[in-house]
Amino acid sequence: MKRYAHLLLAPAALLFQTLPGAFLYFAPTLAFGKKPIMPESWVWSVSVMSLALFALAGLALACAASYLLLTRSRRFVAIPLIFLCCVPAWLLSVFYLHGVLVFLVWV
Amino acid sequence: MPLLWNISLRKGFPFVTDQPPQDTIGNHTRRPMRPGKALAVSLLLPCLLYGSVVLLAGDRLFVFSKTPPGRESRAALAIRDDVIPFFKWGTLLFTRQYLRKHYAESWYFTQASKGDCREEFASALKQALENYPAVDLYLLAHTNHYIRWVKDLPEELRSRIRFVYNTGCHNEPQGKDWLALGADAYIGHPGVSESPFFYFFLLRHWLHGATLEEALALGNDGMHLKFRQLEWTTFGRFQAEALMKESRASVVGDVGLRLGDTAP
Repeated sequence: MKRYAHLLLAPAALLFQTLPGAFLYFAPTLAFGKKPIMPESWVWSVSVMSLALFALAGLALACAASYLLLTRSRRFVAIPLIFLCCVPAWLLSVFYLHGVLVFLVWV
Repeated sequence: MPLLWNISLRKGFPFVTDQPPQDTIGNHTRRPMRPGKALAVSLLLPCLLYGSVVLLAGDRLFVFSKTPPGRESRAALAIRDDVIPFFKWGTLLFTRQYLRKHYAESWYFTQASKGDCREEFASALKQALENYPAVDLYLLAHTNHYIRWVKDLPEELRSRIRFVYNTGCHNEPQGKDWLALGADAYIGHPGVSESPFFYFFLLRHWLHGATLEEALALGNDGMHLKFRQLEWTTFGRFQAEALMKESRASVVGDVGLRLGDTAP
């Protein structure tokens, strides 16, 4: 099992994307639901910081997974896994990253 | 035999080890890709994907752009009506920092119910009008009549209202009323509009120095692009032209106004 641990990182990177998804689902309700538990003055900072962390962590995971697959696996294993797992994880991560940069008025 | 077989996380990334590839079978032990090349591919691919996301968004990037002059003499108020939490959250995330960066002072209100924040809004607007020669209003709400909240203010203060953007459906005809009240320019939508698509482009371009006329054209073009993308991805379920007919924004008043123009 240990020998194939690097193969699990790519699905893990994709699976990680459920976290920002869950954040996008729950954060608005925490801030603006019927019983908000986050003060409105915190909403912007907490949300942007969280999205930035999710974006960067997602990028790092997908990059590491892709790197390990390319260096440790044969190409017919690496390439499909990269397309199936890393590319969607990258796409979602860069989408969140772009959102964060827009919200920060940096781009 | 190659000197370096692999890169392993076990000794800390990216230390080099002499371990062979771990999912090799039989004699197929050649390294699939050199570490340097693998690293380049793994870093380049997300950069390309970022570029594609930017292209898909359909708007130019304003990388660390400067605030147009006259920031110290303008203020802004924005109000979001009582909608689902996700819309309130998204509007706040997008709007707040833009206003903070480009206006000396800004107020942002999120209504918890219809009519909520009326006193706070009127009080903040009065304060803004007393202290700044140019005040812009962003009415980020469904069909609305916030104009009633402003009518009671003294005329000399109302004349400092510069630009009003109203996302409300069917609120385009309010333009003449806002101008009569003292505003210099007004942008609204004619029908059941999908104004968030327009607002994204309008706010970015207007705050980065475009005239209202230019920002309006860019906003309508950007919105049209989004509608065409929507039509394409939903196999025609959404009709871009029909959506545009309802949503195409128009401006009345001083169409040459820029954010940097501070004269009321």
